[in-house]
Amino acid sequence: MTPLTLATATVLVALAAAGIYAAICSTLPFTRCRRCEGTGYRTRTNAFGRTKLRPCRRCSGAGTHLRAGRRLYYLARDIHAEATTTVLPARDSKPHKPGW
Amino acid sequence: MTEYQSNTIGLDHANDIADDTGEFGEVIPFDRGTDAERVDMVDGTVVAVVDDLDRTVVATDGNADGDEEASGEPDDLPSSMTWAAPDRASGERAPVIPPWLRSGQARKAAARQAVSTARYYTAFHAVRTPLYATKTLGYSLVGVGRVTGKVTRWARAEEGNYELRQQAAASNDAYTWQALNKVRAREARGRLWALSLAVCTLLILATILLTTGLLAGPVLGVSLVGLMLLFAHLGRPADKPILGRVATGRKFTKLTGDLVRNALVALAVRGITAPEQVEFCHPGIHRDGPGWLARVNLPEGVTAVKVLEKRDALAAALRLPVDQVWPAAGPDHPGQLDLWVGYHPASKTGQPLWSLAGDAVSTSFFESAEFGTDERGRPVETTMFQRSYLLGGQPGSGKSYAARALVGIAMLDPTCELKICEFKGTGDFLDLEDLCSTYVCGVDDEALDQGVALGRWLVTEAEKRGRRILAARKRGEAPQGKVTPELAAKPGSGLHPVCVLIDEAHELFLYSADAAGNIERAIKRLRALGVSVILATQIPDKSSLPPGITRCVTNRWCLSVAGQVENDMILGTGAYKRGLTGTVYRPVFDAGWGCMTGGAAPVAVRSQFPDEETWAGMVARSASLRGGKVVGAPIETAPARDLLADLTEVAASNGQHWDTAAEALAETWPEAYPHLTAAALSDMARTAGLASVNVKITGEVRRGYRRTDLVKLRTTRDEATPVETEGGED
Ligand SMILES: [Zn+2]
Repeated sequence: MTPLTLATATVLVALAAAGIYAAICSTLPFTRCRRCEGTGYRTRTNAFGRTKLRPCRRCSGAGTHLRAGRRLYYLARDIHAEATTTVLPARDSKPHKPGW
Repeated sequence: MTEYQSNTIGLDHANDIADDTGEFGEVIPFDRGTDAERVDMVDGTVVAVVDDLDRTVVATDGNADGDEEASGEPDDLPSSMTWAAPDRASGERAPVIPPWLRSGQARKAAARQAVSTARYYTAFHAVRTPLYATKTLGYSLVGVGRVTGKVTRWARAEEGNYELRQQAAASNDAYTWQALNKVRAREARGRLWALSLAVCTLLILATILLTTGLLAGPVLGVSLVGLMLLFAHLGRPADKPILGRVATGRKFTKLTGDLVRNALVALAVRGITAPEQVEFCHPGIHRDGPGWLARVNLPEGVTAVKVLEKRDALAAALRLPVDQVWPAAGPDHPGQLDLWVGYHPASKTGQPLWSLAGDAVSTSFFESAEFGTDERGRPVETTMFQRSYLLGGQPGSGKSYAARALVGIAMLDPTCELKICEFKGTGDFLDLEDLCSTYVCGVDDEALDQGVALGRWLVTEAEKRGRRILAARKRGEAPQGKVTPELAAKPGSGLHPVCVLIDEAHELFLYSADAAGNIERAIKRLRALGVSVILATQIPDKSSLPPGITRCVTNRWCLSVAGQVENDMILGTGAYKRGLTGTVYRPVFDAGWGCMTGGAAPVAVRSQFPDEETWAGMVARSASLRGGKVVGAPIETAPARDLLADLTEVAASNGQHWDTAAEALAETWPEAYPHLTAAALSDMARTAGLASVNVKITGEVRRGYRRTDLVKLRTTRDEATPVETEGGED
């Protein structure tokens, strides 16, 4: 195995993986939250040894969250939209009066 | 004015009737009787063109008779309207076989058009086959992708759900997303089963077909190609057809109703405002000769002439060259328009064989014969009798060849005398020299003097013939005071037909105003006397083409000219504005094309242009018809008379008055000095260098010449040219 084939194979595998990941992101945008294991809340032991339930901060208590790829996509989309959309200044509300 | 009656005559009768038609109305069956199309001729000019005889047999009397035109003065430019034949009334039956199928020539033209189109398309696409194959392959892959996508979308029941789910994802609403997805999954279950079942069936079917060998070899290939084409069709972008666009803009394939209607509305003629107002007559737009004919009824109150005036606008609206669009007044009423659009511009089409070029064809001075073709390739005929022609056009317009076509008619009548003057000096008609009783070629004074002599000869001939006709009329042989074929054929009658051609006539008219006057008088008088004069000129202005001549010529043929002024100089004032123009023709490219007036309707004519071999054959045939003899006698060499010597003869001791001298000269040498007036003589003498002064003879002082001047002039001249004492006026 030459380094070139190795590099090529790596790139191909990476591309394939990226493609598969993109497909997953597209069809299944949400994934189970790993922090709370899909429950949406976490147990917490305080100084006195008592356990207390509180919502998972990572998924805001939903148990699922958007995949990183999907979030990245939305971020890119928003940046693009912001860069390419012209926001017109507010219209002058005064009615137009022709000169005649 | 002339009255015309146009009759509809069945095919089988056309020939019979053509023989016994009146003197001035001929019905010439197109394609020599085998054809439905017909051109009505009155007095040698196309009156009406009947393309689709709507009856198989309609026989009426063939006498399309017209009043004789008042001799001498030709009519004003005739109207372009024709009278409809009474039996062309409404409620006719449609022809069993379409007219374009009945005419052999039209059939051939249509077939040729179809074959040429097919060949062009085949070649066009054959060259691009590799490109098409690549495109098809690419698009078919796209098509497969699209089909797969669509099937998947259906099987997954994404319709209406996908977008909502995306929205939920975008707003990070996992709960909604999951709810939506659950609904979708429930719906999709059945569909997925169905899909997998269908795929399995297809696979099994394909396997069976392949293994049993039913789907093998060419069948497999064809079905694969078909499948590929199907996918390519599904996969191609909507705005990008696989086949290259053949249209080159100028290519015209079919005249459609919308085209005609929109073009007519676009003309902005008052009264035509909406496309629906233009109604098509039966049988609608159809093939007619080498093109399409649309016969339409214009809205009430709009005449076809209004459209004819705007021919170029019509061509512009149809996006076609002007010489491809030929509007004409329709046969039924003034508001009917016949719009004929050729497959190709007229300047780019070939010309049918000249009927006079056939073997053993002879003509008669008194009968019409073909000299050119119209835009539809139909022959246009004319008679030489009672007609005079004026051909005008810029250099390269094909004047000489147009004149040749007319001379061709006269040439093939073995009784017709030919006199040709060609003042270009290049011998354009040299091959006809042996047939001519007078042949003049050159631009020198000698040639021009012969031209002047021809003018004088024409006038004296008119005198003589007038007297002969008078005598014949008294005997009852010339009932209308005109030469008849019988009289002309009678040996020794002195009334045989004569055709005089003067090419580059402006040279002669500029050289001698006398000649112009003589020719004008002769044209007026000789029309009915069996002498036809053809004038060809390239500089039509007042001095080179006296308006008197233009006015008295019956047929004016305006070939390619540069502008409106020249055009109207030939065709008459206002002709350009009425749409009669030779300006549409380009010199050289459209050589021989011209607009001819002189009959009921002006026609666009392209003169016949036989190749050298054919023409040589025609000249040889003419010579053999004439038995190798020249008809007629050369003109008495009047210019051989020495004016100065003759003036010396008639002078008194110190000189002579012009009027006395003119009388004496005319009396002594009537052939050389016919109708000589004092003013004309003084003019001629001044040209010769003899001064006009007051002279006193027998006690009277009037204008005249001195004998001393005369003697001095003759001695200096004789010294200058000691050999040529017969040099004329030099
Ligand atoms: Zn969580």
